[in-house]
Amino acid sequence: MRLQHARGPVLHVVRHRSIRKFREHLEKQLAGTDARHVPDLTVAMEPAWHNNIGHALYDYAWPAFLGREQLGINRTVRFHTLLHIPRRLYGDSGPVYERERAHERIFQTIGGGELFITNELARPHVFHDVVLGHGLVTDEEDMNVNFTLAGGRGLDGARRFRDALYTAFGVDIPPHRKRSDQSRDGGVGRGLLVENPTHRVVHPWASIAVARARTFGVNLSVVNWNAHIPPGPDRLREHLRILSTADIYISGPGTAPASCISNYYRMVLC
Amino acid sequence: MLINLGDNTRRYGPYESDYMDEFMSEGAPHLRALYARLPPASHAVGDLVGELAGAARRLILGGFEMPVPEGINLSPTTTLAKAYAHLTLANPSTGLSGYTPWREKVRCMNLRAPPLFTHHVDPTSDPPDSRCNATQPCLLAALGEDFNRRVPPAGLAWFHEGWDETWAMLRERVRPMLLLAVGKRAGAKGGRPPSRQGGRPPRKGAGRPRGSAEGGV
Repeated sequence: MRLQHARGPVLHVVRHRSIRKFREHLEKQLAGTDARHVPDLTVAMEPAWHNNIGHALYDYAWPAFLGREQLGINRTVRFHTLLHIPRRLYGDSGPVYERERAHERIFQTIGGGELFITNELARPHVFHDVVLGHGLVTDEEDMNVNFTLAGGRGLDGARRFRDALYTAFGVDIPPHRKRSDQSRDGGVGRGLLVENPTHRVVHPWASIAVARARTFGVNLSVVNWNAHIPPGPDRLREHLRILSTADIYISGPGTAPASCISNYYRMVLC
Repeated sequence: MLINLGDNTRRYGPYESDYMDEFMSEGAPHLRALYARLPPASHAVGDLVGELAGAARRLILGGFEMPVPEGINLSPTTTLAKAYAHLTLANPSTGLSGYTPWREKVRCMNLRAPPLFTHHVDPTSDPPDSRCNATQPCLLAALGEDFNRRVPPAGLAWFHEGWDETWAMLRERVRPMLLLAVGKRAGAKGGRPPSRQGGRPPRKGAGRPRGSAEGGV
């Protein structure tokens, strides 16, 4: 059986009568090739709009993470990342492509293992344990009647994913609280006001907001997530570090153009 | 604490939402989300956003429990869409199955509801499905009125047909109105309370006081 996808064949499914028969088949297929065996866990995903870090994290890394959680696989286990990218929507060069590659390194950092991209594999690879097929777990087709991110409540998935991100990037995990005023000895000091063309956080009103917030005891910083550091793991690490210090996150909707992330970052807030 | 300012660069209808991806906030019960409707960019917006930051700080220090209750992290607009969907799609005796997929159903409701989807899927880009039931504008309006009546501060109306005029007014007023969601559910399941005869929709336009940022929390 061959599963077809709009962008080409995805995978072949062949029935075997037993594990032994399957192993025989595999050995036959691989005889004479220099196939590489990849032991340990591999998580597969099929990213498409991942040039935007918001989509990279919550359309692809999130379902992959959740798929693993749903299977009860110990989250401390490192895993390899297998990306199926039959065709890049924005071509094989240029700034969008560069961002895609940068965000693929972020996927790899989250897993902690190696990164494999299907159309770049020069020889056969045998992945021993693969988690795949989580596809639409966070996508629009999955919208449930309570209108929640899949697994966000039931599995405490949003916070677990947040913690996994902080851990992968070496940033201290914000405290888990049962009440919002718990362990707030230092008060509630810091807020982030995100620059985003969608709601026009531009001068002069951003500076007015900062001044006004100060009268209420909030130290509001205006942040531009696209500034200073090029896309990639280093940028995300720095952003997580900033987010881990903030209590209040103010932004407009959506991800905004380019690699700006805006609304999606709220999910990794403490 | 999250504050979603929405999109204040264009005008939205009374039942449209411009917050996007609300399912993410609703699916993160270790966070609390607030929604504000802001006038177009101006100095007054800066003041309002500063006040919102202060309100968020007071809420945090006031101490709310986490995980936060279901539904509290949705905007009023999406709360209303959810109530509307449950009322129109569910079997009255059994309710709506938790496994009912929403995408097609919501498209049938003819609500312009991009926040129900990730942003690259816009239901408005697809033609309405002629097999769907017609929309029920009266029900929608009734739910909106219920919400306006129930959610303090009294007199501030999130849903009303006069939004277009209000928008025009907002452009000119020095101290614009701030509408802030406080997470109450619109049209709670299980039937509406008896309609109050005096519960007129708020008067369009001027004279509405600006509410406290905490609202009914």
